[in-house]
Amino acid sequence: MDSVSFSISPGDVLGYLGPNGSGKSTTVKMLTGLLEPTSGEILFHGKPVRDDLIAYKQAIGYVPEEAQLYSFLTGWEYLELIATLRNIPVTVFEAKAKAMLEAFTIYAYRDATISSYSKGMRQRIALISATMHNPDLLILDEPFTGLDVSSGLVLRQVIEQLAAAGKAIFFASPAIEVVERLCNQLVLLRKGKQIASGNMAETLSQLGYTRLEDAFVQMAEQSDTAQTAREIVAAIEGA
Amino acid sequence: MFRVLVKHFARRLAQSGGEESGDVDMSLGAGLALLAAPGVFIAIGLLDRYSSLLNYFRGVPIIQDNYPRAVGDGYGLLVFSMAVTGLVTLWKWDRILPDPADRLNLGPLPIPERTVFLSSLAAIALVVGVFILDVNAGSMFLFPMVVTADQQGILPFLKLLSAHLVVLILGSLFTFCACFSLMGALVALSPPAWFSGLSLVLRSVSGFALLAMWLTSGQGRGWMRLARSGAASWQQWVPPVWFASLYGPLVGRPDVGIDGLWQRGLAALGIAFLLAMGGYAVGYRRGMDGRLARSAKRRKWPRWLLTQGSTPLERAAFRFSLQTLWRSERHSLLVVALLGSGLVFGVMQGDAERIPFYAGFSLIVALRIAFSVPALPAANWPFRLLAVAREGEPAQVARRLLWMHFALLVVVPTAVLCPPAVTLVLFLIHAVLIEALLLDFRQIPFTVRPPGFRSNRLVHALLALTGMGLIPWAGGHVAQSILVMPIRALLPCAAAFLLVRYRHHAVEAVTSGKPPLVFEDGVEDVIRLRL
Repeated sequence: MDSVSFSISPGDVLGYLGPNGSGKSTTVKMLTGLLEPTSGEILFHGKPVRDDLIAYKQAIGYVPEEAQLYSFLTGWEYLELIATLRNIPVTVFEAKAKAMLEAFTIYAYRDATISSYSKGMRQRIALISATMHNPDLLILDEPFTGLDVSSGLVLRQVIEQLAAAGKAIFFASPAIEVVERLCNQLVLLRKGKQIASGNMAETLSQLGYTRLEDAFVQMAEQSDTAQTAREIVAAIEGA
Repeated sequence: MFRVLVKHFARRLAQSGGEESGDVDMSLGAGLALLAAPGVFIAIGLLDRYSSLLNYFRGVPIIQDNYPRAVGDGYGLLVFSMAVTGLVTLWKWDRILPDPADRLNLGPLPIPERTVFLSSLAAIALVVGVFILDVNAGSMFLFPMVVTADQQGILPFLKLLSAHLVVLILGSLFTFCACFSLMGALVALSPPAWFSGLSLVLRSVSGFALLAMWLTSGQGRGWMRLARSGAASWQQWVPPVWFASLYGPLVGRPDVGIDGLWQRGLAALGIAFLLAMGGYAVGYRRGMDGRLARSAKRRKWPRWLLTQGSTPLERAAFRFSLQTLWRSERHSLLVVALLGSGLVFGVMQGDAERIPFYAGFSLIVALRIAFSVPALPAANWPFRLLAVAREGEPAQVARRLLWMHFALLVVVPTAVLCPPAVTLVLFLIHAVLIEALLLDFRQIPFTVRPPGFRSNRLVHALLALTGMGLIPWAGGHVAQSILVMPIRALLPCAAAFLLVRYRHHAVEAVTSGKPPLVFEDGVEDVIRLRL
């Protein structure tokens, strides 16, 4: 990552958009403290997060790109583990976990091991574990992966309502249409470098585009998608 | 197509591990070489007994007819082959049957299901055949060579070679089929929700039986003699005796074989084979459907058990470690296998009062080793994200786990069955051992393999073997001495108290300047043996 700089305020949903390999997940790892930047600073409420990493981590929630969970635990046990690590009181945890599992329609499967869960169910467990402590900053790394249509629509509403309630949401995704609909802030990446950032509408108009898809294809991917598609079809038919 | 599928299934069977693998990464060549090595050494060791030149210099009378005692030594090699085949079958138990991944990958392809079924079966036959030949590769030739070295012509050698080969192959096949039919019965009969629990119990019990059988490898000569004289009773039901009885008819010496027994062995092999095939046919469908992996609901653990610890990290790490230990089949099996080996070894030593020391030492070392085998490294991110450890917190979690298992599984039974002096000494020695093993413990159990663990494996193994001999010996002596004069108990009490009381000096010396919690599994590259 090089020369990446952005800020996110309460109520913002920041779309962090870039093609595969552009550095989205690396940024996420830095933001969550899983990876230390070689240079530069991450500030939370104006103070370097390294000054009080514990308080910072208490204030964030994180959904990783792929929900890698301990498959031999049940969904409930996994959430209980995270709640214990976050020092959430048992009664609070039980009430929240029950309500959230029911809302995400997986309460009936809470006592089955995660190894038996579908990808979408695992993703929902990861989402619940990231939000049950009511974080101020939510870091979502491609959270819609594997979710079914209705869960995806619910999650979209949840993100909007959390933002409306004053949460800051960092949203890394390669899904242009979701970012366009959901985010009011935008950071566009290419090969580890930031090529555009700011308010979504203003940034697009400054760049001379009306649709995010056009801006993304031209600036980030720098490729002729129609030509690429023609080549693929030709290869298929040639075989 | 059939050949490609056989190759695919055979490779899957031969792989070191699955999704959770991370502890062992060894090429097929290295694995086969390691398995073949003990047979070679055992056979070379026999040279000392059969060499007429060495016996001449020793003044030992030269025995012209080697066959009767060769049957006893052949029994030892047979037991080794059967035990190793059985133990590896138990270890690979869950990889023998196709799984849902096979269904996902092969299902959409235009391949008849019969072809998939038969290729999977052929792969099992191929791998088992190669495995049996490999385990016995050295002894197969060396043993007949050593036994018939003094005899004229090549015929005696060829006769014994073919007899030995047949005995080893049939015996090993019997063990494989017996273990496989056990699994087949389990797959066919157990409800999916019970499968993993029952599988662990069955594997453990079968493993103990195989280990106990292995330790009888020196009894072959005596048991065969008893069986020949008609005086044997329960020995007639020991499977290696059945197959060792085949040596006589195969080398053309009916006097060294027992007709009824080898016929019983062949009948048992036939039954085991049929059961294994039946089990495979049932298990194939259930495994492919993933009905065994989709275990139903789990029972909840008692809350008091999962809330041990004084800080959030301690409580979370303890809960996680306990659940991993008893839910992850790989970890449970590792602990049960090491504990079982220690117990069987202790029982075979014949001194009842030292058995608790063998059990205690094996259990603690097994748990300590298991702590350093990560369960699912990719899933460790919540700990990396949230865990902030104080000095000594990870060691406290490990200590609590070690004490809980040691107290329940070893101390309580010892207190009930043995004199108080044995319990006291057992308690003291293992208190010191636990502290020694946790001197530099700075990891959450089952999350990471510390860098030193892999590079010092040989040293750890040697230390464990030394301890296995030393601790029961010393423990037995001290306990005996206290039984004679109870006042002597004060000395080990004082020594253990001082060692535990001032352990923090040693901890400080070892951990000074190091972070209190490590996640360094990526530091060291896997050592690959390519032969």
